[in-house]
Amino acid sequence: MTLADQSARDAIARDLDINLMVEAAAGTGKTTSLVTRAVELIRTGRCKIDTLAAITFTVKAAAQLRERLQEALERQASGLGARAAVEQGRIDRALHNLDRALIGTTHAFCARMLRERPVESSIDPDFEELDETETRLLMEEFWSRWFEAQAIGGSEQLRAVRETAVKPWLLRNAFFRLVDYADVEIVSTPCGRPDLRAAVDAVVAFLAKCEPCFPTSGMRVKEDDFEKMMRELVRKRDTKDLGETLDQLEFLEAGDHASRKPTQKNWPDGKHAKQLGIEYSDIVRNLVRPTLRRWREYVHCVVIDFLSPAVKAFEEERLRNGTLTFNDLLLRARDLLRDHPGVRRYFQRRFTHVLVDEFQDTDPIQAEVLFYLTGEEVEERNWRRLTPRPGSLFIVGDPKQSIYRFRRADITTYLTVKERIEKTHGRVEILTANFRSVGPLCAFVNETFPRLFLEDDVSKGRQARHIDLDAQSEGVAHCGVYALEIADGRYEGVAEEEARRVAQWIRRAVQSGLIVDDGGEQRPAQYGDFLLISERKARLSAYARALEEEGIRFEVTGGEAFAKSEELRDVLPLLRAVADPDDAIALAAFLRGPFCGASDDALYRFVKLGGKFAAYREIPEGADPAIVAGLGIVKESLGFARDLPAAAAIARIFDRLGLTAFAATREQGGTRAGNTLLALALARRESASGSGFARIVDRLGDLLESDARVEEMNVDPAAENVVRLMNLHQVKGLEAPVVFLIDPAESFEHEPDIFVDRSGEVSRGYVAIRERKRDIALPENWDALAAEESAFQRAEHNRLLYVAATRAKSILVAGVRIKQGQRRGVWSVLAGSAKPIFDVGQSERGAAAVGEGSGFEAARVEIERRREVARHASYSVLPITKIAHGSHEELVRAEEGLGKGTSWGRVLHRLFEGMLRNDALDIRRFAANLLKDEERDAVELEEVIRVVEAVQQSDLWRRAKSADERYVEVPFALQVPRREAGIDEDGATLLHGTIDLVFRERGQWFVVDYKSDATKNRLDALVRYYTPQVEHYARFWQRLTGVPTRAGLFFVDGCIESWT
Amino acid sequence: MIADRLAAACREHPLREKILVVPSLAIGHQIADAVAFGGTPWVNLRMETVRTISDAVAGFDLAGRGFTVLSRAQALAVIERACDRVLDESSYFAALLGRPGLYRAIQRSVDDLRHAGVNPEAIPKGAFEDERKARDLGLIIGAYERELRDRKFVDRCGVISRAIELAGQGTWSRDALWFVLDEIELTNLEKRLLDAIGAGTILSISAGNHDAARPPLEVEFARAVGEENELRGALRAAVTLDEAEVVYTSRDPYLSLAYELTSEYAIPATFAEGIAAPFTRPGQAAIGFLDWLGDDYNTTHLQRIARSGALRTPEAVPPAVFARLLRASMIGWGRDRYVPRLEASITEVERALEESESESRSEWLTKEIERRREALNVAQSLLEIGAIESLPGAALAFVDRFAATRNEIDGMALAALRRLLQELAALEEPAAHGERARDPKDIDRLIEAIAATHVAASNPRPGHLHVTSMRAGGWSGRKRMFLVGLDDTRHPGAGLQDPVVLDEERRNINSSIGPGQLDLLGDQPARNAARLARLIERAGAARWTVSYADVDLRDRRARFPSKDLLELFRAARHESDARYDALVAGSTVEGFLEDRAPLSESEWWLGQRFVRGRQDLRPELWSAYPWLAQGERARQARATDEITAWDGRIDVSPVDIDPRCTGRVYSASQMERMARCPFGWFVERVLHIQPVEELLRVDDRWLDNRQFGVLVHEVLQETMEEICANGETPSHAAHVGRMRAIGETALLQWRSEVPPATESAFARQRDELFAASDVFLRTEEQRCAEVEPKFFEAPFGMPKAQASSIGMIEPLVIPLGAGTSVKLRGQIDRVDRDRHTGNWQVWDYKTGSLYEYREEWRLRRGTKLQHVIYTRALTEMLRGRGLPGSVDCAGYYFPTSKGDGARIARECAPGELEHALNLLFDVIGSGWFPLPDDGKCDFCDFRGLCGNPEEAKEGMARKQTANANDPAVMAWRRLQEVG
Ligand code: SF4
Repeated sequence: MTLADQSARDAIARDLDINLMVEAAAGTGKTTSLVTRAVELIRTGRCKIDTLAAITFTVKAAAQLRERLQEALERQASGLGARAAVEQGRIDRALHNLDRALIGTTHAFCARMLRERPVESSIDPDFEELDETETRLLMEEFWSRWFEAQAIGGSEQLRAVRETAVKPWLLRNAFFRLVDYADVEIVSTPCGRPDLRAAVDAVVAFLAKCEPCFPTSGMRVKEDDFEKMMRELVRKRDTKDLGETLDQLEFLEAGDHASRKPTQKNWPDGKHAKQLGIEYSDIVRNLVRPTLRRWREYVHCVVIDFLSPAVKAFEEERLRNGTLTFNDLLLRARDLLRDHPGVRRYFQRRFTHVLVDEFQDTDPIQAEVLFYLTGEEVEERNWRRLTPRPGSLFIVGDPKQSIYRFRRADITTYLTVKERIEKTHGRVEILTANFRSVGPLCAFVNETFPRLFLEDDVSKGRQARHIDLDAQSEGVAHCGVYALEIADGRYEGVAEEEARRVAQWIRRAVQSGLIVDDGGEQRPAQYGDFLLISERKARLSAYARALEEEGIRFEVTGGEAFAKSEELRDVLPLLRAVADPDDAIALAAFLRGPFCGASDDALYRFVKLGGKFAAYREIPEGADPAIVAGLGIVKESLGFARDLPAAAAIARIFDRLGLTAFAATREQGGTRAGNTLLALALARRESASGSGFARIVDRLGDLLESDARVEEMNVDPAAENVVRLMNLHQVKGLEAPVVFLIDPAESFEHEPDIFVDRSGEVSRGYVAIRERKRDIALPENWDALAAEESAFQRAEHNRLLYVAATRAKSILVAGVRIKQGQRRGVWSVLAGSAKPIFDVGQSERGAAAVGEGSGFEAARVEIERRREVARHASYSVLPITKIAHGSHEELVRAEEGLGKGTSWGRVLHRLFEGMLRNDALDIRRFAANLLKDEERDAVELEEVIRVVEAVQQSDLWRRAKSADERYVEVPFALQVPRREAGIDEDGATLLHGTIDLVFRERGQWFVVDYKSDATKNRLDALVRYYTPQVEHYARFWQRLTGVPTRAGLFFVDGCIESWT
Repeated sequence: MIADRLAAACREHPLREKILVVPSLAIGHQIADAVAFGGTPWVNLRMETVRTISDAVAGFDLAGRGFTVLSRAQALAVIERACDRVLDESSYFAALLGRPGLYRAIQRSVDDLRHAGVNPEAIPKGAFEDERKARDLGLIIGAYERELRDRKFVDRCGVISRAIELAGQGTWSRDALWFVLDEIELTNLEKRLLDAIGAGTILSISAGNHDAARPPLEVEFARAVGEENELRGALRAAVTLDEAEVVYTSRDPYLSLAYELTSEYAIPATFAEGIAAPFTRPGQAAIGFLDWLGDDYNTTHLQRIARSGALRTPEAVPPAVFARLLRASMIGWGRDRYVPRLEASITEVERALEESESESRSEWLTKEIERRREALNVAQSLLEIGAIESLPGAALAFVDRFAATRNEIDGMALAALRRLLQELAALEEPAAHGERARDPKDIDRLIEAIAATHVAASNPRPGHLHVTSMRAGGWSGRKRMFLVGLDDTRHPGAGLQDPVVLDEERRNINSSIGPGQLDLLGDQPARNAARLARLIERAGAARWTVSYADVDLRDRRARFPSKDLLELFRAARHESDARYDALVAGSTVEGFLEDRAPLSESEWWLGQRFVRGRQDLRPELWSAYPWLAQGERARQARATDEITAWDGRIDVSPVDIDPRCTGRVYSASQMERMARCPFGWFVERVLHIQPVEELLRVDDRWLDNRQFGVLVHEVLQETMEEICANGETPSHAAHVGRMRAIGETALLQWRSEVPPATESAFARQRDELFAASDVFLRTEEQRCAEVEPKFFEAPFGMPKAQASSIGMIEPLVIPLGAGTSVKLRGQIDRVDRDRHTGNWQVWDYKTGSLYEYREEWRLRRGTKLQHVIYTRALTEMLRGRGLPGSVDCAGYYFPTSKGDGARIARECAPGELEHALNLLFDVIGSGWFPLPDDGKCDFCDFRGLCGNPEEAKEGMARKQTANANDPAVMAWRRLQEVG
């Protein structure tokens, strides 16, 4: 059967010299088309694997693409046969060099370009790529430093900002925001400082009129809002200097409430009061508010003037220090290509063909990079004017799935690129054949989205046009769209109820063997077939709980329960008390906490007995057992912290305390225990980067207390065939036979605080600064801009719905609330008039299994035993000296006699070795070098020479020199039974040693060991001590050579020989 | 196998010297041991590396001529200077001058060129992307070599070159049988050295047959949940440690993870690459010291290393005590604060000693003085060391004197760090003139250098697991091999180009100079793949487990198997077209859940719970960890309806606790605290638990709220006193200047106590103080038309009342019926007198927000008592002094910008105070200390201790309801009704 979009698919594989943009709707095979294109480019010899660049949206997608490309190439290789030897060669080479293909995210790709050409980008080639947390930290650190420098340097701009009374933390947040949008020109309109006087005067005049009419204490229970405001204004009038702008501002802001009305019965003259209220509202609307708006526009301009240099300075500093944010990678790579034609040419040679996936969601800068990489005109700096070389660019995307506006992605960019490709002889191909969803689901999408993708939005470039999906499978009985209806109620209650229903339904569906359509294959459902998607993360945990309750295994992506982990929060005091034994609060908190359970009464008695909340203090007699146990744990933990690397110490503390075990046995134990394990994993990571115990504890505290979002972990993250649970922004590329759209709260519209207009040559950003709901600084004409941004966001919201609706293969269930008979909530547009979800039987869940288990005590013993066994040495290696000299003590005693330290002995040994190896040796020079090498005093040279001269005169030396055969410094090794080496165990040991000198004379070997000890008065003792060692040598030598061997000691001091 | 072939050689030439050239001595020793273990005793078998050979050949010659061999780190410093000297604006590399990465890259390239024997002058210009590169490189190498020559330095390359020369002259020869392990990867220069000494007699000998990458006989595949489980899998399967070896593809993160895990499970292990210095005490100490220098001498860093045991101090002041003293003397940060603050802390104790009356206390104080003096000495030495101009020099002096060592590894680390720091210090050039500000980047770089130092590298040892890298692995002859890290990010690597000499340029150079001289970096992955093949080959007889981590635990990112892993899988399974999903499916999973061989107690429990599905573990858990059982008991107690000993109830006699019985004098603010949160009062006043007092550096804040309040108080007080003493009435115009001057003095005073972290934070609070001054004076100006300010600070129940013109030394006694009473002390901020009526007003300054004062209340559940207590006190005082008029107004005064100068007067009916106090004391006296009912508290240090009040709220309410007839609960509830 030919597909309706067959011609488009053919073009992908055929029109290799034409730039293509493929609009691939959901489920139409994006990656396949990318792989097809790549294989064809290689097979036809247009591109070598080294010059291919494929850019994906995530690291994961990159890895998958690489795998698929390899497999496709392998299929080609085996399918080509002999008919195309040239092609075979190309494919083989590609497979062999697959590692050279550049397949990765834009960021990885840009980073690679920067590392390759750092000079032109003026960036340290070893630059560091900061992740979000690191960026945040660096930003904060820079900001305080920079701000401080401005303050000390008496900056004019700072003075101006101070005179607007904008709070420093608002400035800081605005700064962070601007850093995110460094590629955008932030618009600020210069304007003069507005005069607030007229508005102030009007309010003061009104106060004069109003004040005499104020209610008095006895008249009312409580001040009404209007009175409260008026009294505040009076106070301000009296204590502020209303000639000063800032005081004026404070005054006006206090009075900026048009809707506060007097409660008539409070006021002596209610009617008059009402009149006053109306009058005041007018003043606010006509005078106060417009004045404040002018003021905010003025503040905007002052603040942006102040912040822009900061953004610039921060950027320069990052470049200088080689610390690059994600954004920097793109921006700097863009600049590198844009500003250096030579480099552009170089990379155009390096990457002849660029393939891009998920283009609708990539950063706008990426579009520029792509055009610079492929554009023919290497001198042209404006990417919008570039013509990509024919066939060099292949882009896949789906504008209907563009959902990352909040992360800078912008549909405007997509549309611009599309237009440019068409204009430069490229083509847009559209894929519609959907291999994912069954007919009824495709029909549903085709019916719903043309309505939701408003024509007005499409024409204004805010929305993509819907294109009908062409289903490839008809599906089974139950497939289609359903609604799950929950009666409206309390916020959490609705989610909990829905969660319960969803979980039960899933369990029953699996138990009853509901048949699902899995891409054409029909089979009974398993847990892995279910995907639960929420719009936001907030209440995912309610669903997780419900699934657990039903005994269903699941996996949450992006759940944020880590920071809420009770066990970790509760163990923190213990860790803190260990990190800082003077921290009495932490210590007491641990004792009183859930791991120790000391009562308040016990604590009181402890203090009465003279106990102190300090880890190292003595525990008074008679203290409560809970406290004694707790302090015991603290002491043990201090020991771990002292003796073990930091993360290991924390792990041991957890283990000793029983923390993970405890977590595991509670409800949601999988996630609880998972989080303690995750904390340890994070600790290990910290420790590897050099942090000590205290710092790791601090970090852990930060993670738990700050808003740093760490994704929770389940104890079995590898579990397969589990229900998946995530939010809408994480479902990209995912699919499942059955999809539930959960959490039917209303969708939440953010009030915009930035609008970026990417339609022109230069992208412009308009930033509003707000303190919670209060406007602080606004760009000119903000209301219109905000409305435009909202329109963009609404269009994107509909695309999010599109993404949600197109994940399901056979069943889509939209959760809705029923309020006054109406379906409500974020998914209600999708639920439309869909039938309520069908029943899947009523099977009860089986009783929880109680497994067979061994006892803990036995396990503890077993763990110890296994460690013991593992540690047992299965072999041994011994230096002969160790077995020869009985006790160590004796050795120490003998060594006392050396007098000059072991290095003296080494100098002599090495010198004798040199002399015996090389007749021509310059002894003086060699000895001098040896002394230096052994870090000894050069004046010892003369002494060395005296010794050498004496030795040269000795009988032994003469014999050795004239021997038939001679070896010096001879290493040797042999394996002997352990018992032979004096070790009372079975098995073998390796003995090794070094013989100083061995020579053959008249058919007999002589083994000699030099000794540099002082011999005076102790020769006998030394001989006794050293003889066994040389005897060992001799025995070994004799065994090896089969020739009689004698052993001897040569004491350099006095040139004394001692033979056995 | 290599060992067999060497054994044969040993048998054939038993006595003759046999030399094997190996990549590292560590590998050589393992090979030699394997020969002997194989049953062939040997004699005169020696292992050499290119390095030992070149040292042996040229070492003494060079030393004799006065040359010093540079380490790589030292050579880098010379490269750096060479670059700085010869590169100018016209240079290609100019844009990157000063960036450390440039120097490292240039060092690598220069090494490559020198090792390849490429003379930069011979490189055709067109070989480079940018022609200037050739000139730049030529100049750099020239300058580099010149400095080496001039300062009598020689780098590795130089040693080898000299060795080649000498060997060529025949001055060095060794009558031996030479073998070269063909696994060794030699550069051109190194090959030439071997040629020169071996003169063609060297035999190449190989560990295996590399025609094809053959899989080992026995191999299993595993994928793991994170790298740590990959390693755990190995630790579990290593039944006998010294028969197992773990090989990693990439040092990071496996090496440190392996160290952490083996330490955690008390598994003895050897690490071929050693462990990173920061894992040792001297490493931690050195880094802490540098952090201290880099962070404006913030004591935190010293405290940390002292508490962790990394700092060595004299016996008289053990590290933990030193840490405590640093903190307690409120040094905070700043070089100049140490001596004065510590001296002040000594004086303080000296004064206490003078006043001390008890002998034991005096004894303790004398000791404490000694300790503090010693701490001062230590601090002074540290400051002196910190002032040493050379940074490595300072660090060296520091580790020498102050780094603690507790075990062998610490000792090795200390030695290694000393070597590193000595080397770096030796190369430093003295500053051109005088003091040089410390560059924070230098500190960072030194910390990096320390962190990169590895210590205690070891060969395999009996009874130990061996952990090693891919290059050094596979030589131990162990039976059980684990290869970890075969995901596609770690293996075979990306083949990043060398930015100094790009691959394209290398190709050009090679083709113009001769083939194959400079390696292409794009071939790096292929080389890694070959290394993997050789590794597996040489230990092909062992049983292998090869694995990768399929997820990064930190960010839950998925990871994927390397292509080579698939190849291995295909070969092992004889399925040449197996796909990735087959590999994934054919791999065992190593996760956190393991039932068979738990490594720790925790793992056993996880296995029982999740693998066996046991849900009956609780009783066993309680008996294994009795403290948890106790904790559970506490939890259950808190969950009951009873008010138990875990709900702030203690068993105490009223005599010990009820303010009506104890006879103690209480401050008015303590009473309020007691009423706001009895539990907090219990912790502070009964358990005597105090927060650690210390100066923390917070960039955007100088004084905390309480401190700022005191500052404002002081300034207001002093200003008013002065104005009134001069017989003037406050006026903004007349006094604002004076008030600011007073403010400036106070600011300075505070500044010396609490150094601001930033000037901007200081400036902000200064502005705030002045804004408060303005508000205050304006308010006073208006107000003083009506009233006359009379007294500022009117203490009662305190000795200092003696100096006051109105205060009273005796406490205020409030009779509470039935013969009981409570004694109170306090201090009234402000007493005014109405100009018309002659009556008196009492005001308490507040610098916080008006929030709580917006509601109408009289005593606010007993949490606002000051206005009544002060009224009573003033009445007493007036009576005592015989002053006419009554107190007819009392309240709170907000003389700040936030408070707009508002004055909020509150009154209450006679008897109401007594009523509230009696209720409060009925609660406290019963030994019950509840948390606030509404679960709302302001900032409180005990938040972590009392349990989350917000969460405790519900339980508290339930318990109160269930015990509505309990007298204490009744009293508490009635207290809550007091408006
Ligand atoms: S945090 Fe609140 S409840 Fe806890 S002790 Fe402090 S004031 Fe009391």
